Amino acid sequence: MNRRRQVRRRAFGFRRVRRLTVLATTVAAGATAAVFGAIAGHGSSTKKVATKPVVVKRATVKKATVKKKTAQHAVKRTLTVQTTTSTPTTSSAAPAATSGGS
Amino acid sequence: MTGWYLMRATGIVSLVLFTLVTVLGIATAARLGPRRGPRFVTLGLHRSMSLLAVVFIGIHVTTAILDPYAHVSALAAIVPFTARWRPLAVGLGTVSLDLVAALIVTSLLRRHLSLRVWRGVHLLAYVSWPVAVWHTIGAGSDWSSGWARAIVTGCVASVLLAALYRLPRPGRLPKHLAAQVRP
Repeated sequence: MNRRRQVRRRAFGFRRVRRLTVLATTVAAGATAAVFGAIAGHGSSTKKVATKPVVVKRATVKKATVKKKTAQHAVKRTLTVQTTTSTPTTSSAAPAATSGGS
Repeated sequence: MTGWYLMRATGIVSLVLFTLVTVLGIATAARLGPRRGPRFVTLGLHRSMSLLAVVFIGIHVTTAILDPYAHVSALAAIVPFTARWRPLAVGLGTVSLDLVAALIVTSLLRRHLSLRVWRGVHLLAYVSWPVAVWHTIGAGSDWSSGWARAIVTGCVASVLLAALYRLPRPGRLPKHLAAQVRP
């Protein structure tokens, strides 16, 4: 009886070692894939694509720019053209669309 | 860049596995076992985890040699401090690898060696593991990120706790000797 219990206990131990080994192997492979993905994802998001500054000309209409003239009280709409300089840092950064309108 | 990313990922996982192997080794030496089940489970896990860690370290070293971005020659992977890029940090990894190789070879030839020789070489694991941690901190590209620091800190804390448990305390005998002393 005691011998039978000993054999059963040993078999239980071997099974536990095998199961834990399989579990650890799976976890290690999954962890490698996760770290790989994290590194690759982080690397691509901070990757600089453009090094030269891109000059974007943008025309905007300033509305409701009301100027009172001394005598006539005329309403004047002014058109201004602004020139801005921006440097995209990420790969997803696209140059700003030129909005027309005069 | 696949090789470069794989090298970094397997490096971190190898350190975690190496830590697990070290903790299991300390638990085996301290004659610790699971609450339910026989004590040889700890030793069996220590052996199988060692094999798994060796596989991951092998992938880490192979990708480091094959990847052109890493600039690690085959000679630098065997002979310490011969790498061109960060020779100290990469060399520490080589030292750790050589010590692990010595541990594996002596464990495989344990039947042909005396217990004193095997034990003396096996104690080198206490040198190999901190050297591997130093290599991770010195050569690891992800050391600046928070998750890598958390992993390394967790590894150091777990081995320190296990080693503190293993240290002999005054007035306390080891379990196997205490069982013999008791009437």
